[in-house]
Amino acid sequence: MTLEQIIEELDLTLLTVERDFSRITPVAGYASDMLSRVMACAPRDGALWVTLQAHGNIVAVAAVLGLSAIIITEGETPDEATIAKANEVGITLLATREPTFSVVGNLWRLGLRNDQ
Amino acid sequence: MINETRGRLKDTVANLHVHTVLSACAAVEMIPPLIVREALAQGIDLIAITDHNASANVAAVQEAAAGSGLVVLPGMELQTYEEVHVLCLFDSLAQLKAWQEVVDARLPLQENTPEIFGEQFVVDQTGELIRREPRLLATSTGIRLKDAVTEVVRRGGLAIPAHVDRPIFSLFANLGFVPSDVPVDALEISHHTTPSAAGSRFPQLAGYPLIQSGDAHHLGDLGTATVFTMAAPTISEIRLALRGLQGRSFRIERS
Repeated sequence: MTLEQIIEELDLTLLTVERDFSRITPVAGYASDMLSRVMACAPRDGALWVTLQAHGNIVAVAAVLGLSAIIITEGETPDEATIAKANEVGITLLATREPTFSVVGNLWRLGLRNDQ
Repeated sequence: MINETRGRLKDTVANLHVHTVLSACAAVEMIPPLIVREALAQGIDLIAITDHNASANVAAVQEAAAGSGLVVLPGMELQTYEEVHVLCLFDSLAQLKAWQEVVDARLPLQENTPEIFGEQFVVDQTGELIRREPRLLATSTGIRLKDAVTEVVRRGGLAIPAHVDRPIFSLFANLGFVPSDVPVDALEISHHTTPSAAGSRFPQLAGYPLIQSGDAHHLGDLGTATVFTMAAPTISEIRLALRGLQGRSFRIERS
């Protein structure tokens, strides 16, 4: 399943620059709002991260882990500097008003698993 | 002011993180006269009163300490939007009250449930009950970490992220590391660790002045302190000491 399909199915708002999301396939998922835990425990390289943290540090964490994208939930919005930083380091930021529970449920329904 | 006091530096043993019975999680013994008596008994020269998002007991502790030799700085332990606890310390009650207005406007209107969270008592200098605070205080305000630190410093205060070594309500737990655009004056470690243990566990501490405080919820926690070598117990002197300027310095180990 590509990021393009995920964006469409979950009706996500793209906060960063447009890319060819049909060529990006998230290979795993992770959900947490504690960045220390994300740094220690999230799957690396290509995973999709779901969080309601909109703080600028999420971009640095995602870049270090090589995540494919961050879905920011519950209508939280990062500031412009965070979005600019994400564009600079190539991290895609997506937003939704839905809570993390629903987003993860939908990703699971679409077939995203961590054992692929 | 600083020039006048040059050459009169002395050690001040400071616990800059003390709760009162206004904090639901604090023990009922944390009333002004007992805090003052116990702090002095444990060799403390300077405390800051730092209740969760609140400051209504600061004046009572100052009054209880009047003439005792213990200096009481006005403060608050702010909980930011990111659930990070930050000590906000000021010189004057007026500065703290102005900051309290900002915080009150960004504190969610939730009622405290004393059976679950504990009582929040406003007391006088003898510890007598004046009123119960109805709002739930120990919750996240809408103030973002960067805005909180920037604003406290702009108002002449000190902003110090609290107990960064703890698993919850800590800058490192919630945000991983100090954001580069947040001008913190220092970082606080709790009495659960030591500077060297914290340093090896958290490499992101490197480069920041590190203080240790009691985060006192019980009288027995009052003794954990940082020693500042400075001319007077003021915010500007503490800041000089944290930066190691003009002969001022600080250390965690008590001599």
